[in-house]
Amino acid sequence: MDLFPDIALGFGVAFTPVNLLFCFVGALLGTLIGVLPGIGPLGAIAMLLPITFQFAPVTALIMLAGIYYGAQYGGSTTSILVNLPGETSSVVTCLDGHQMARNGRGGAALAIAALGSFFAGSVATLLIAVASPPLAQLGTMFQAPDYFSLMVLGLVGAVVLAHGSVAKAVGMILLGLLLGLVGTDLNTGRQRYTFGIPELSDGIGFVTLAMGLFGVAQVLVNLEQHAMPRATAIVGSLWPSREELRRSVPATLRGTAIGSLLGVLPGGGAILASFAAYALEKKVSREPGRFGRGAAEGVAAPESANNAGAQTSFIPMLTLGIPSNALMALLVGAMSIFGVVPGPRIVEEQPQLFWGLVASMWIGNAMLLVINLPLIGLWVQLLRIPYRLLYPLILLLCCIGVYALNGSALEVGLMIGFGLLGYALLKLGFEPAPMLLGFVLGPLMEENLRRALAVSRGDASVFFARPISATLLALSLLLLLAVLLPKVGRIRGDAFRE
Amino acid sequence: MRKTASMILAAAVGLLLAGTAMAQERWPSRTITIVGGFPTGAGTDIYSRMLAEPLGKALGVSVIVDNKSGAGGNVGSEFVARARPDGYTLYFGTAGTHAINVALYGKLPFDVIRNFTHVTILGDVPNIMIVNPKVMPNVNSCADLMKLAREKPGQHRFASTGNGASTHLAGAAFTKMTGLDIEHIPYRGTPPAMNAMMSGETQVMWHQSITVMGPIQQGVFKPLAVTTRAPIAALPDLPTVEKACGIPGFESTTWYGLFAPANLPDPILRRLNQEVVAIVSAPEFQKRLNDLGITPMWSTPEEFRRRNEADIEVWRKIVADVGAKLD
Repeated sequence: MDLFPDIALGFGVAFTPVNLLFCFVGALLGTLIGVLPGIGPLGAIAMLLPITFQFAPVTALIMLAGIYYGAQYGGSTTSILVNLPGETSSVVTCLDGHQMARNGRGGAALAIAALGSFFAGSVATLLIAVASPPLAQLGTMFQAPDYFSLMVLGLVGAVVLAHGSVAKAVGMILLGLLLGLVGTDLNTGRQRYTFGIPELSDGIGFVTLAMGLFGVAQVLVNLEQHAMPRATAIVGSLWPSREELRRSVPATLRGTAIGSLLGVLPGGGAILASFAAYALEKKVSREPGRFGRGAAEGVAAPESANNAGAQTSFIPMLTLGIPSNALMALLVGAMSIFGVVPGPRIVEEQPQLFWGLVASMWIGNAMLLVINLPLIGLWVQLLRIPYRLLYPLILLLCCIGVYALNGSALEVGLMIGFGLLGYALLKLGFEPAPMLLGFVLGPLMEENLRRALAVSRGDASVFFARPISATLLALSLLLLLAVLLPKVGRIRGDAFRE
Repeated sequence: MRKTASMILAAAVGLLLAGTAMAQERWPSRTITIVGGFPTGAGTDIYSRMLAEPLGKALGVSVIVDNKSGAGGNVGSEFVARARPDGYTLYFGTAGTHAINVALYGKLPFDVIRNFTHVTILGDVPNIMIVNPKVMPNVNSCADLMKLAREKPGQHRFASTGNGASTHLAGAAFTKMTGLDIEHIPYRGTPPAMNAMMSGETQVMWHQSITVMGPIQQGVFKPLAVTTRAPIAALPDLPTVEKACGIPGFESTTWYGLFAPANLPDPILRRLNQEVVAIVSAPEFQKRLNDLGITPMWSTPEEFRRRNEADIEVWRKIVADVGAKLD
């Protein structure tokens, strides 16, 4: 494989002034969109698509791709500063990122997220360049039973997410599963728990639920503590300490590996990336008790996993023409309008476009670092805003973000309802993160379970017969035992002492 | 003091009245919204944004797209059915929202014909019957597939992008008309359905031409037939299902069309129809649509309404035959 001439060709394309400019514009727009909760990269790309018709195809794609991975960078900012997750992947960043901000380490958390994302983005870009075909094959090997078992593993992992009682975490997962059932049943078209409200027929929106449970609930809890003058008592050094860096480096490496692999799986795979990376960190850590209280590795791992996954989700689209999510489907549509056909032959037919895009991804990641690091100082200043001004601002952001999704006032009301629920749960010592994971994974798990059984004509042995599925189920069992065994041991120990 | 206030008030009222009068005599004078019934990134969304930009230029105001998705497009339809017919709220409808849903949903809180003004049809979206050559190496034609399905009944499955979607109804009509035992497996949208075709979980699919053109041109999927009555410009050599599979009268295409709320004033309707038809019929715009696999179309408001009325009956029959139902 003559990689170097190819990469040289790519940089030759990406380093033209026009392409550099639009790479920067895309990365900057993406960052802004990521920072604003609600308006996702999908909406932004759809809106900008008609404008790009006048550009050369490679320039247009460089900009659109920049928006997508730029948004992954920006998404962490609101999670860390004000506990507002704008998308699925930033939920886990809230857990330790916002705690770090409360401990006065907001600048460090932002820096770790940016550096981790840069590293992950660079590695994943290299993977696209050297290993696209085999990774794309991996994605196409997954069938319904394998997805089901992957979701089982994810749900077992959700128990690990909680740092309190296991029973409470299981309760929250179940509540999340129930909320995930709302909407039109995929197989029969029947309405479930929609009470005749058309807006509910597509289910409860993730952003609606997440902003209620995290953003609104957090504001309510903080309102009780009158004495606190601002969001964080101290704004410490902006840069990570040596200790924080030492903890973040291995977490970033593991997060990148997990994210790169899960990113190539269409539907569901990428959602799991940041959760899985966080759960793994907590599992391998010698002091799991630090998680949820502002552990630097709890920010580094999910942020790098999420960025690596965003990057490798281009692989099935570029090498097979198969989109791995709605955003990639939109890009496939965009490419056909430009007369570019993604697929196995794209590398030979359009080498300039393929390698130019790959090279621009690396440049774009570097640009994002340059955009984001100086901004940290500015973002942290936001934390100096007094509560009486910051809270209405957060609530306003939540309302605008949720309204922007579907233009529905009902969903804004729902978000406030979830905010009250989240407040009650926090007061009772229940954590919302396992609930959100249950909410996201539950419908996918049900869908794939029923699909697997429909395909096998009711034969349940298919879950053990397929190697991928069997391996994932075995891993779930091991993880479950690892969670439960210490408890069992302790109970037995107590019994003997009696 | 009080005098000044009342003078300002009078001036404001005067301005307001003048503004209303101007709006009545000259349309358009403010932003026009094209409402869509499907999520951002769907085919309807891509097309409406392609249309919004040149339409705004032609009318001299900005035209924006606002998706109100949900319930198979019914949320958006209901919103527009209740909107004021002032020419500032338009609807990007489909055969799904305005014909299939009538049959699919027991009752709708609006009438797809009487609560809307038909502006123009915008294009036909055919479904293309595809197989994965790696999974089905010996299938080179629709006849091959039918032979295989007949020899091994119950061992083949088709993917759809959801219950009641055109991908489902086309496949269900095919199995109904051929009597073949090919099971329907629904997926949540295009990405997982296409992946099922890659992994071999399903063997055949009748996918909408949008997004499947790329994999076909790259040889990832093999097209067997198209569900229109005549071959399409994007794949001129591809036979129709009627010809390739020997099913007389088989047709299963969905269209896109522009609507407004009922009772749109005639001058506005005429101007709108004229501008949109000019945009869609321009050669460059047609080429873009063809690249996406959409057959460009335009019509008079009356032609469009008649096609819509006829299609309601066509789909009512297909949905009844297939036995699909949503509530």
